Amino acid sequence: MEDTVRAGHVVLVVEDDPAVQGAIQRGLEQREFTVRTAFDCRKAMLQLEAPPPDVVCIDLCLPDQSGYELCESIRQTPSCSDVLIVVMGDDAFPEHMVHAEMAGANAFLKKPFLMDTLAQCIESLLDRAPASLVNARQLRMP
Amino acid sequence: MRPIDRILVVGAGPLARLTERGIHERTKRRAVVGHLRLRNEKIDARLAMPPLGTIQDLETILNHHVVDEVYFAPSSPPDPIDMQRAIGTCERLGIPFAMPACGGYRLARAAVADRSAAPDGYFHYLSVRRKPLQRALKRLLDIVASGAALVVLAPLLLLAALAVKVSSRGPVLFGQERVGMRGRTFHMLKFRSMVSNAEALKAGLLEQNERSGPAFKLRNDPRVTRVGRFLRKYSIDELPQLVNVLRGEMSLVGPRPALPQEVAQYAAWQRRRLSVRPGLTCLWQVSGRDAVSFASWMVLDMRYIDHWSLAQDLGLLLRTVPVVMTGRGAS
Repeated sequence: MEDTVRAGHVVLVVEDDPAVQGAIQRGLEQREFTVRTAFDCRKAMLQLEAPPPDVVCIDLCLPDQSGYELCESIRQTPSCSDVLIVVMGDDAFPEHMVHAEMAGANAFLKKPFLMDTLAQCIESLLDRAPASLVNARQLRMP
Repeated sequence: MRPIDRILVVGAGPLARLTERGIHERTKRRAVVGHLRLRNEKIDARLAMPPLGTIQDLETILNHHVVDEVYFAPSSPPDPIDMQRAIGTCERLGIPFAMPACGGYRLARAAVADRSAAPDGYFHYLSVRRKPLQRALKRLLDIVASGAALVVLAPLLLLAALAVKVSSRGPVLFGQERVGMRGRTFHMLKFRSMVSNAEALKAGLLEQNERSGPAFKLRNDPRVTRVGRFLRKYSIDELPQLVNVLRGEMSLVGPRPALPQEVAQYAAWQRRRLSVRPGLTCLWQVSGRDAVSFASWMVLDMRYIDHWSLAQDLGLLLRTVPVVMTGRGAS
């Protein structure tokens, strides 16, 4: 329904687990997003150079730096200040969300999640940017 | 049905806001009823409600509000002296509390080893042993035994009701406001054993009070009717409380529920009485009853709470029967 609206939006997926990264990529491509990928923070920063994506999905646990640090690097890059960030973590404690929010994330998604949940999360961010920190549970019951 | 758990969040920053949202998203059985700001903490603009006060007001707030658990959700490192004092307050009052599982640190890779220990991102602390199976059995016993007792004792209850009705003007049952678990008030049922304007007459009798401390008791209270005296001697006037037990406001065994004005005069450690369901009988009732002073009565109740077990409850029930049957200790 919204696929035509979303077509052309670019999402960068930063995830070190190839299986998870592949699943997210396929899921988002089925929903007409253009997907770029990176396995670590260094590659992610290279991918963020011109033109920056609309959304970055970041796993908190990455091999070289943490997802929080990547968030901060993105926010410190002037060309990427408008990029929407979704953080993905195994635990979604209030403390994790506070640190994600402070690092500059727009949404927090607890793993594992359904592809529909991620898509809804991205779409709601694109709809009402700049969005507040949201998580999957809140999105499922609007 | 069990009332909704009322949560007080110590903190008024982003962590407090996200903690409140997390609690409300997890279950409808728990509700955040207020926040307390930490010293020097900046109030989060998106906080659902303005803070009730600061962490230094914790004891006052807990004394005046029903709170089932305190969440410590500081958004910056809290003052250690303030925190220690606040934790001490929760322990003294017997109120459960929760501390952030990551200790305020940013964890990207490390996680709590046993995730079930921090189901909502918090470690939960209790000032009494949990004994969940025994607690469940206690509630089951309360329901089964009070239900059965109401059926078995129905003829006696009807007889008592009739005696109260024909012997003096006024209602058969008397619902007095008492303080239950965590300070929730409820109407404790009794057969009326006094004249119907007894509360109004109490003020004139206060100076003759025979019990030390905030409780009031008079051996030859002129307000008690003749039928009332008999009902009291054999504790028949207390039997309607089986209904309070069935409703979950009381238990068969537990500290006797106090009057609100008595609770208002409690010292902090005595408020720990409110950390459990009040009961029909307790250690004090089988220890010579009215002969025990208020201070030792409180100590007995604390001993009951701190060393609670189902076996102790069953023992107390058995010891209560002869005390009631013989009318020993009752006024």
